[in-house]
Amino acid sequence: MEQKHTDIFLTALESVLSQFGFGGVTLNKESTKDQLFIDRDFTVVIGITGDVKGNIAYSFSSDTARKLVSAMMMGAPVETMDDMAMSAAGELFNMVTANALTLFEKQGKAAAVSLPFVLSGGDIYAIISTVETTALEVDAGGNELELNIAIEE
Amino acid sequence: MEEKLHRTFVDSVVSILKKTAGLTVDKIGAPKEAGGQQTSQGIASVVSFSGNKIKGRCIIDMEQEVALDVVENIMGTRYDNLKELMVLYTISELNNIIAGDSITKLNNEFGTGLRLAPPVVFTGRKVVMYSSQVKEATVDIDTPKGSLRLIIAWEGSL
Repeated sequence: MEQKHTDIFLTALESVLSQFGFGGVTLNKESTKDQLFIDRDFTVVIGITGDVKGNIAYSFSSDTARKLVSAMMMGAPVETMDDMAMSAAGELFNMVTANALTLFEKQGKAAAVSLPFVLSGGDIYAIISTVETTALEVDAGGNELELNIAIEE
Repeated sequence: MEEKLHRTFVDSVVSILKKTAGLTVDKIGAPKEAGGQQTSQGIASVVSFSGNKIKGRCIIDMEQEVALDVVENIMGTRYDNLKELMVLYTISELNNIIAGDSITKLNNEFGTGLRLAPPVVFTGRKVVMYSSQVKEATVDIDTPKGSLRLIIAWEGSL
């Protein structure tokens, strides 16, 4: 049986974060949205093209961002989210998305990941798809993340 | 080749704005190397693309007055808030049309096999867009209603 889109991204998230020493990923809440109101500090958006296409938006707090980037940098302290830290955060979620696409490929669906970009700011209203977006609030080793998944096949 | 990439997107912006929204362009700035971070002027739409030679994204970032005028000209209704759903959808679809026009030309001329992801659109307070370590060029475009900015980021070459 095919894995659901949401399960694929949760599996990919857990797989990548575990490489950086973060424990299991727990799904706290799943909902659907037409429009995103982003109240977390940073959001990484990644486009997907191919047999599955869409956009994934990963949102997280500044504190979570620093912890994730620090883990990627072998535990080096990250005081501020400068350009290098932003780039590392983008790359981390690029890895998660690429990992998810390998799982889609096992279902015979070939897709490619595009370049990540990172947003920050206040009161951000965003639309990432004309199809329904699934929002997953997860805990990853004590770090809260929100995954917004908008995939069309 | 990079100049060809910018020029293709700029030509699509000018042509599609004129055709769909009746908006003319006063001045097109020279492409500037960008990278790092840029603050949105009001509302921005992003279309990602990938193919067999390059992958990247096209961002169209507009001042509020330009965006509201474009939406009024396309939809026939005046909105006063960038957060209105119809404003977000219209700007998003406009960029989709522009990016679609550009990648069709690039695919025909360079065999790039580019495909588009659906558009993303966002607005907010002091929204900053960070770009990772990729090539990026910004082109400022002035219109009678204000300015818009085209930001093309890519990896690979044509």
